[in-house]
Amino acid sequence: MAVASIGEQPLVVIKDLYKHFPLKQAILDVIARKPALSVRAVDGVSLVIKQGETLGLVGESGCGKSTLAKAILRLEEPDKGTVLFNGKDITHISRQEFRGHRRHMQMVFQDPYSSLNPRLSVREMLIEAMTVHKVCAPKDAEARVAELMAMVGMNIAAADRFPGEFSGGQRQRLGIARALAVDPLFIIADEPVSALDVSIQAQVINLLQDLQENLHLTLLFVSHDLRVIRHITHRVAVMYLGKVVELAPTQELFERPLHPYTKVLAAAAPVLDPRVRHREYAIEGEPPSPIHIPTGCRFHPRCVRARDICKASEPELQEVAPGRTVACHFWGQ
Amino acid sequence: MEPATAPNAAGDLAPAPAPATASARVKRKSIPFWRKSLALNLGIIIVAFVFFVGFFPGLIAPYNPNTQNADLMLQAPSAAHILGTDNYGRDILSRVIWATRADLQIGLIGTAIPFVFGTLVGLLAGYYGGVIDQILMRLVDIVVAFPFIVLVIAIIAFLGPGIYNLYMAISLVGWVPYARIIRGEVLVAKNLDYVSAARVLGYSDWRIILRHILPNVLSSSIVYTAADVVFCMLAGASMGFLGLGVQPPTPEWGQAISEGRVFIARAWWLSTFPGFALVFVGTGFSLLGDGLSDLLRTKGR
Repeated sequence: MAVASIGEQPLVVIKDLYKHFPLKQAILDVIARKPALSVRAVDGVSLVIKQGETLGLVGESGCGKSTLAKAILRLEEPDKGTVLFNGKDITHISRQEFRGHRRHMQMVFQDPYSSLNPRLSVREMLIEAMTVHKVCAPKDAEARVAELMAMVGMNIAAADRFPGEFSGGQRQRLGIARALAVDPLFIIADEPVSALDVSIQAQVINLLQDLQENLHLTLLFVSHDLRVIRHITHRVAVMYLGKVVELAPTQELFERPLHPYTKVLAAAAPVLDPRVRHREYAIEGEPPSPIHIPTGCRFHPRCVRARDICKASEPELQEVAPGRTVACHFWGQ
Repeated sequence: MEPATAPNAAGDLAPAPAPATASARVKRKSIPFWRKSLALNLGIIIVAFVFFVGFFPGLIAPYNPNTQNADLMLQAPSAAHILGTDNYGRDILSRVIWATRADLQIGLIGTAIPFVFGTLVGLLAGYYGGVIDQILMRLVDIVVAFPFIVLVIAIIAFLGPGIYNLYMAISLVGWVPYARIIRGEVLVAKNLDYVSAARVLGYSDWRIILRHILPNVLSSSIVYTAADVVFCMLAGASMGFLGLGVQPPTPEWGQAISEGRVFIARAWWLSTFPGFALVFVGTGFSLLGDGLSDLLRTKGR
């Protein structure tokens, strides 16, 4: 079905996606004809996710990573733009029609304590997903529950227990099992380990990595944790205030970041080497509000290299080397 | 939450602390629910007793509640008639016991129909939001704007007195609190990740609402039903008192209180004992409600 190695075939193509959240206006402002404000969470994102790869999506809190993830799966309806899945437009079809396609794209959620229905046992939860999409014959359902539990490293004896009886790490494994129950091609993992203890994080990360390889899954891995991103992903997209500012293979991105924001991010990541003590630079200031996005390059107020042109015109994403794109006027310097 | 766990927290100190969460969980489970809440115990006992009396009044009542006896009019409580007799010479104890059936029935039916209907309205308004929510909640505002009893009286005045019209009136008014409680809980629950997960899995709206939201939002309205049974019985008794509810000669507490009102100076027992019965049953259901809410709160998610 899928290719064993990372193909060049695109599985998910995101074209110019927008999601703005309008703010409530006071009645006087409406009368005074003040322009309506909105939070521009996703502000024109284009991205290609290739079959069989793990694409990392990284950025500060509030930069729109999670909203982008939700907009792809239409948990938030995007305002504008298109998502193609396997070449088919999934944004402009009815919700009813889209439901039939949902089994191919699944999601692993951030908070393992709210992502499992407390009233359903593990078995009920998995069988429900399988029966709704007729993934297998009813008589094979039991066998598949056992298979799924084994896949995520859980004992089959746990299948009759309820979510409240599991730890955070176990719950996250169950969340992964539920996503796998419908045999998806594409999984979005939205900060899947940031709510877990550090000691558990590695286990869940490794589990996701193994599953991705063994099942030839395509994975969009959303995280703010660069160590995790570096460990698990093949390519990384860096997001800043609703836009992708740099896209590169993981190795290259960390060795030679081109966008000044990526440089700051990479430098700010803790290095687990006692000999490395100094830091080149720390980022200054808070990220600007996604309501009042700066003119020109959205990063210029915090950028050490900002010049006049950065305030005036917004740099487009340009391909600067094979497989590397960056949105900066002075990427070469 | 804290008070309920306090006794076993002390007990936890004795055995060597094994994995803390596991032992706490085992401990909590090993305490039977009836030892946690005195209110719940009393409530269950009283309500069970009331149900027994309501279902089998014939086994307990010493006399036929409708047998009149001109020789025994307005007798004070005595060994033969423990609670005395009324102006037709009927045994008051027997009438109070038989009235349990009518009043319990009003309480239960008057709660069950609004519970189902209000829950449905709350689920739809909370889940779909938007125009559906606006319309349903404005309807709720209209009903809330009138006092409960006034609206019930108005509807009965329109439909005419009698037990079925009483159910109709209570049902038309009583769904509102359920709709509000459920809607509020649904607004919270529908944004939880497990509901998002259900949507990502492509489940139908009905499946999400009934299987993933409903079981997780029911607990507070179930607690409310215990109080609501009391409201409905009181409403039923009030209508009986006003002559708009259960019609004589079927025994009913409110109607009995009303009939005894004329003789209150000469024969206090006519109105007093049906009143006590109402208080007793009301207290029982209230205790049950309190105990249930304690239990559901400590159980947590």
